[in-house]
Amino acid sequence: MPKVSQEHRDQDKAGRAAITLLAAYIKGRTILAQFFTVLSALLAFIPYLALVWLGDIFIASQQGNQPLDVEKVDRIVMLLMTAFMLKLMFYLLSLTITHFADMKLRFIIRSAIVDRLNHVPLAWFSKTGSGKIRNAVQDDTKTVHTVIAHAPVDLINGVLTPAVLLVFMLVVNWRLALIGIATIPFYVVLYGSSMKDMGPKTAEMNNNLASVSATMVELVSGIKVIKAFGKSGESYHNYEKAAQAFANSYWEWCAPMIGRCSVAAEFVSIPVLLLVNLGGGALVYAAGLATLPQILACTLIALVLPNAMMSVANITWSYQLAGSAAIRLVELMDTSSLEEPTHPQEVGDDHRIVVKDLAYSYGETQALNGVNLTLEPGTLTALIGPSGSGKSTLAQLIARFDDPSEGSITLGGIDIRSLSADDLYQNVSFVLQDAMLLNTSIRRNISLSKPQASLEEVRAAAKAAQIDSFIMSLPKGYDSIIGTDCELSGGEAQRLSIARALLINAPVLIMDEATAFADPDSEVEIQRALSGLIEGRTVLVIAHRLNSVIGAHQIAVMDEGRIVATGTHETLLDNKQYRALLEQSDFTQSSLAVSGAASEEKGGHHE
Amino acid sequence: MDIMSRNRNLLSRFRRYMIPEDAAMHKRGMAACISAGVFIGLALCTMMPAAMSLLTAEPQWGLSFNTWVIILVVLTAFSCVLDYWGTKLGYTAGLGYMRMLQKHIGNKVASLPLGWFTASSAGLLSRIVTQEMMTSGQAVAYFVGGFLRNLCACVIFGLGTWVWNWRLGLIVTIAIPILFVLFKLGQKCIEKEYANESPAEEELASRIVEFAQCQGALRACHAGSTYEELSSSFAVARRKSVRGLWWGVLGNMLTGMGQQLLVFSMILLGSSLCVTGIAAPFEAIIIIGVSLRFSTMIADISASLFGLEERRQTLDSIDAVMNAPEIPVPQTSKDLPHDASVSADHVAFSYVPDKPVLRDVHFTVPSSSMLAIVGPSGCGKTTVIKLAARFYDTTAGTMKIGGVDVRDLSTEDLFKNVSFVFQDVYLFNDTLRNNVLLARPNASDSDIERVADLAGVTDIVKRLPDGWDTVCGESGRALSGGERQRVSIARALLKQAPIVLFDEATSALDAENEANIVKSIEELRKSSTVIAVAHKLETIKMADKIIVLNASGSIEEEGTHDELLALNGAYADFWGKHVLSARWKLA
Repeated sequence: MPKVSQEHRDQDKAGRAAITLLAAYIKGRTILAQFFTVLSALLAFIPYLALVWLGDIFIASQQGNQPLDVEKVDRIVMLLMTAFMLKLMFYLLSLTITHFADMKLRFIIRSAIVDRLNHVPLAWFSKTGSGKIRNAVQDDTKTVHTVIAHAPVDLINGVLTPAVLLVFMLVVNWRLALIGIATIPFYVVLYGSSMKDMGPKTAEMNNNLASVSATMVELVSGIKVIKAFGKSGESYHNYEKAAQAFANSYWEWCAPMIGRCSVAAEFVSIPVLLLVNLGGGALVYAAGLATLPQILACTLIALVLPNAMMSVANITWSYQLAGSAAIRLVELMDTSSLEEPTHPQEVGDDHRIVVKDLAYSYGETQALNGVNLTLEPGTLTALIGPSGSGKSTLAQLIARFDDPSEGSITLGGIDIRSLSADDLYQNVSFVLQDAMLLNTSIRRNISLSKPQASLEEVRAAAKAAQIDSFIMSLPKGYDSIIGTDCELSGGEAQRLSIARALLINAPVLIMDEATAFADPDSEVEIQRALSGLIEGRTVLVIAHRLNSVIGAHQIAVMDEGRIVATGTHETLLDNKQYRALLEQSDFTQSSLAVSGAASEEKGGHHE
Repeated sequence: MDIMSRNRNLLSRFRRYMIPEDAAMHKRGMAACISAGVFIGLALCTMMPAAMSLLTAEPQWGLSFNTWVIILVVLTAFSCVLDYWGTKLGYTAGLGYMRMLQKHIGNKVASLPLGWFTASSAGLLSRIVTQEMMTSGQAVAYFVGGFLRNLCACVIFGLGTWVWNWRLGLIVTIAIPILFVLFKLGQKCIEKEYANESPAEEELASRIVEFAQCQGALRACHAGSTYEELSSSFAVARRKSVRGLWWGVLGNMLTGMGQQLLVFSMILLGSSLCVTGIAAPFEAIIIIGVSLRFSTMIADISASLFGLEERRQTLDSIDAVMNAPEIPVPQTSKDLPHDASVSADHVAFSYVPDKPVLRDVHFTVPSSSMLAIVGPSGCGKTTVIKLAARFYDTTAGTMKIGGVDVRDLSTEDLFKNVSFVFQDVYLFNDTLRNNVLLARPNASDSDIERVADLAGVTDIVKRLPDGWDTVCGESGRALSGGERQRVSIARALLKQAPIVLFDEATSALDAENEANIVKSIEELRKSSTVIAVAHKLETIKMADKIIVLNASGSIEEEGTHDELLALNGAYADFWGKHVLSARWKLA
């Protein structure tokens, strides 16, 4: 017997648990559908019963015992057809119910995911790729379709129909019944032995497939690097190894089964069943213990029994496949969210932000430690420091992308955790590197925070953001759908997001200086827009070039998750780290010194 | 018949991916399944005379019940052996198919031109070598074989009814086209279901992804829970899904109706034949019994046809990848580059016909000199260097390195001479050290440290908890965009290829990064020819020669920095704006 790891057993179990959890949402409908399935299955024997009755009547008349009762024949034929029709109708009805239930569940799952997305920390999105979300809403909900929409019906049908037919056979003629199922034990024993450990084995297969998929993703995503550095050998080898491992383990699992399953299938093949039932039936008939119609009915039943059983096996298989999809869905629906205050406080007129003893870590990395900073209303504070020093993390915590592990951030004396999300973002807005445009009209993108804003208001914001004339040059102007009617360059997207921030009009603004250099084609325009945006606000800037924030009211120098110095340019000149950053910045400036002077005249000509 | 020829076609499409032995095995397997189907059909046919002879105790067609049983034994023996053989061959060939498909796709990936790959390729290909490999493998292993067997048995059984009772045969024969039409209608309904549902579902999925990606903006605008576009997508998807489902229900009812129609007419025929005395009463119940059997077979076949349609779509997506044109690469180079020069000889290029990206681009970069390409975004700057690395082939003209057409070089020789730093930097899920080291696996520690210092990787190493041994994670997510480009630069420095193609990042460059890039390019140009798509003034100024592309993809100006400034044209304009921007102060 092949060894099966505990891990794979657990995975199999967890998958089933997740499916049960999802199915609970539509329990009522499923039960209703199962009720109709039961009705349909119970009707299964009636056509055969009718066959036996008809046979008895026909034979009696053929042997001249009594005249043919035409009316009775008609009645029985009617019964047969009605039962046949009802059986199919009930079956279709139950499948229809489960399909509608499945659809309902799909919407429940997606609404739950959307609701969750709306409450998870914003930092969660940078950790979780959008691919994962797309997979969940598009593929995983489809993968669970079979177990939700088909399994509850087919499982009952697959078990109950043979059971009903078997009981019917036993009632009609127990000897024929035994003959009818005589070959099934051979099939079950042979086939069942190969089904052993199927769940965990499937889990192992899924893991192997996952590594095939991962190595293929690496091969394809890295293809340029792989070719450029002559690495095709190695990466290809990794993929090949994974593919090989899958093929070998799959072969190992399947190969011994092939012979056995093929033999097993013959025990329930049509000719064998015909032979056994007709032959065996003839012997019983010869002994005078069965009538011919009984033999015929039982033979026909014997032919359909194995089919019903196989559909059960197929459903079991689909449970294996759906397990991991269900786990992913349940996980996504259960992602922990930011705690919302039950009795939110409200921000007053004071917009001073105080960061106190702040610490934050992701995973084992301590990103921030013992950070203290005050943003006085109406001032501009610049965060500078080498990349990875914690500038972005600090700025993001102030906009509550996530909650700190220690310490607090207060806005006007109130901890931002006790503010409602709406209130917080009415007071704190941000312009970061990702412009986050939605696939809708330009007007709507700008006026997202203020849907009732008039076109004049929207245009005023766009003008201030240096993007109005570009928008007016589009055939559909402000009604152009982004991504459908027009594609925006990086710079245009940034200016739109600045227009959006202008309309939000929050007193506190958090921004990334890199947005000013997002697009070499339109840096000047973005810069003008940004300068307009910061006017009169409390601003925190994540700065990458010291020289563009040298006049800030406050400069905070960060290193390794701490603020090592704060002050103005003048007071910081003695600081060693600040000087180092200044030199780096000077280096890039000095290279412009000569030609810069020359072209400033030039630039003048072109202005 | 239509179905048969389409399925034969399907089989040869599957066999294309098998080794000849497996393909032959599969062919034998399918032949065995079809033959088994014939014997199964014949066995079913014997049911009628055998049962009659048993009842009447008289020979049917001159054969007694016992003889019929013997015939049935023989038929059973044949069908079992053939079926066993066919099933076994099918499974074995199916496993071979799965193994080979993975191999074929792997090879194809290695030989597709780099330009073929897009952002969605990784997902598509990984799906093909997993899910689609499994479904199509199942089709090869048993699905197709089982379908052929059932179909064949059904046809023989149908023909047998003619021999046995022409009226029954007539009904079956009339029923088949009717069934076929109903089945087609059913299929149309199901197609309609998908046509209704799929676009709405896709739109909804995109909206949800957008909702996730833009969550920051939505919350900042207090629009998180009231994002109308999403709620209306939900409403549309729900409406379309409901409509689609009803189409699906109708489709199922039509196919179900077909089966019932056949069974009912057979049953009615049976009973009326008996009542009117045309047939012996006992013959009538056999007709009814046969009709019950027949309905099961028809149901199986129609289910299989739906299944086959699904598998055909799977095969379509596999074929689409496997049929993608490769660019011919010589196994051995026809000539080796004579030096490290790069030249474009009247090069034109378009991704799609009639939309030229580059027109008549003509330049020569001598060995060990540096060329900077500037111009507005979308003017084809990056395309120029992609053509030099043969991501695509030119539409007209030739790209040469060292005087040799890039199309005459083997992949190995091409990339021995060329290395590049692109904007989308891929890091393997391996340690940082190995990610740099892959450029030259035998590099010494001091070499690595030197290039790391130059490229600014040393700073990243210091920051990371495990330093050089930090695993970069899926496509290098642990590093920022700027940091990833530094790693890529370190690779290029370490590789020391004669020609370096450099696509400078357009955004997110801080002073620290810029200083590193300038130092690195200075180092690279000591030993290599450098072609840079440049945005930063410092980089541009370093070039020996600059070409300015215009929006229509042709060269507008070329010359040294000073010459171009003196022209007082497009370059001077560009430069002036950039200087202004670089001196911008937020505060």
